[in-house]
Amino acid sequence: MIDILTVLVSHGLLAYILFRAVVLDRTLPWFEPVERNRDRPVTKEGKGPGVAERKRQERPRVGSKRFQPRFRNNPPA
Amino acid sequence: MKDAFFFLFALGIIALGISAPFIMTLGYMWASLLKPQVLSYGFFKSIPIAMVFALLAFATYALIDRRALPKFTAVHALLVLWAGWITFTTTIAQFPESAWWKWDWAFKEIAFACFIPLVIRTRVHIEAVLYVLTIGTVPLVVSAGLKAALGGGGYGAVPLVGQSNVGLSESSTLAMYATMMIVLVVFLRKHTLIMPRNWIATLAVAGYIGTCLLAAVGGHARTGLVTVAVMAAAFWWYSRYKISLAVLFMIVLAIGTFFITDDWIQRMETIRAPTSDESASDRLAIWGWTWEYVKSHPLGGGFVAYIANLGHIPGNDYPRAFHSIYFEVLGEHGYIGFAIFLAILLTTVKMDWGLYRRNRRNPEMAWVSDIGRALMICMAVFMSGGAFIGVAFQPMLYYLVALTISARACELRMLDASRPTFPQYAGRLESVRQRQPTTGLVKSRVG
Repeated sequence: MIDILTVLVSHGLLAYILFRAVVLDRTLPWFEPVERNRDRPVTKEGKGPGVAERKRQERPRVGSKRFQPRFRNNPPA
Repeated sequence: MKDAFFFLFALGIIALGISAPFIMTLGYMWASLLKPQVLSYGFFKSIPIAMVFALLAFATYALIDRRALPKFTAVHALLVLWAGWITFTTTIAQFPESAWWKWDWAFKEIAFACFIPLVIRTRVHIEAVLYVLTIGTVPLVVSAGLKAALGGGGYGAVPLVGQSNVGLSESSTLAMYATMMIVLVVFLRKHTLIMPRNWIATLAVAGYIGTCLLAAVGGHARTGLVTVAVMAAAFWWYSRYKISLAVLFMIVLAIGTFFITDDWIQRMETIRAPTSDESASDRLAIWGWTWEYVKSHPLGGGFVAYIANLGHIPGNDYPRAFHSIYFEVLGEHGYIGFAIFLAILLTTVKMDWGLYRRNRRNPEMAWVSDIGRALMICMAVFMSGGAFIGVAFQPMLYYLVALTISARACELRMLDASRPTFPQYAGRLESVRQRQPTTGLVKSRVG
């Protein structure tokens, strides 16, 4: 009983996964460019900034989606 | 009924594979790991399904999909060398008939591992392979775990599907494979694109990990305990949440003690005193014999050379297998074969380590870093568990090696895609970008 059940469930799931893999293969770009790699500052040793240095960097303040000010993109006249 | 089910499933894969050739490769991996013809009893048994998928994979690649070759790596070169060397040692084998029988399937696995990186190129492809490895073998791994939970387990007492004691149907091999699957499913849970990431998926993953643990430990195979310990240590070492993980492991261990039987403890204690156990002391005797054998046969005795130990292992009136990937390779392919095999293992681990180290601080490449780490832990599990079972030519190792090459090639292609299309204008583009901040442009227009 366990054998039959595992065969049925796993192959059903596998069929869905293979189908979805084909769909994603057709729709997603194969190799997305890594923008941050290009912009990342490089030190003399050829490495990016360490974790400690990155923490000190000021992050741009972006409000959460929930508290976006009204009329941001379409201000009232 | 089972035959018809597997036949229809295989037909479905072929139908999908015509539109996307990488699916044929996944079909081969499914057939090679699960061996559906062993699980069936009727007409499907006579169909060489792995060969059909292999031929279709080659054909669809050559006719439809031949593009974007991966970079030729050292691991690729070593695989080709390895395939050549095992062919040479088979020509001088001590037992040619048996040797050619094993060469036949071992060579196919290595050749297909060389082919996989040509077809498996993108993140989605790699993820689909991981799903075939984890979900495709559920009838073996999860059913063994569930049976161990319901029936109490025991060495050789868990009735595995197929009952052939070959491939993943062997208790120790299954224990090692189940441990590897835990590592891969943790990666998939974090980075999957194919499956949704919701609470149902989390529950399914938790259940899968639980049954994998039961399959690894419940079969009473000592290899299972060793591999689970190595996996837990590796997870802890690479985790950012060391204290939380240590607490989680303690909880799992505490729950596990309720299910541990005296038989299990007695069997595991033989790891510390191997001479007290017949099976363990036999292994020591076989390894001692192999060490002496290779001194007189420096090029190895060819595949299945262990037949020569008939009468040399005390208390055994039949030849005993090597029971270790290292002694298997040493006895069969000599010092040179051993060096090539070790080079494949170490180069793959080094490549995985590189994938992890180079990308761990880049959030956009986090999946590359994590797959490098997952493959590295799988290799550590294989190298530790393989010390006690002869699986040097089983497909799982070669799939890990092929996935490593694919992941490295994917990393390189993503970086290539980030570079400007015309390198001769790269410097000029950069200077234009620097001279053209938004405010400056606005000012000049206003002025």
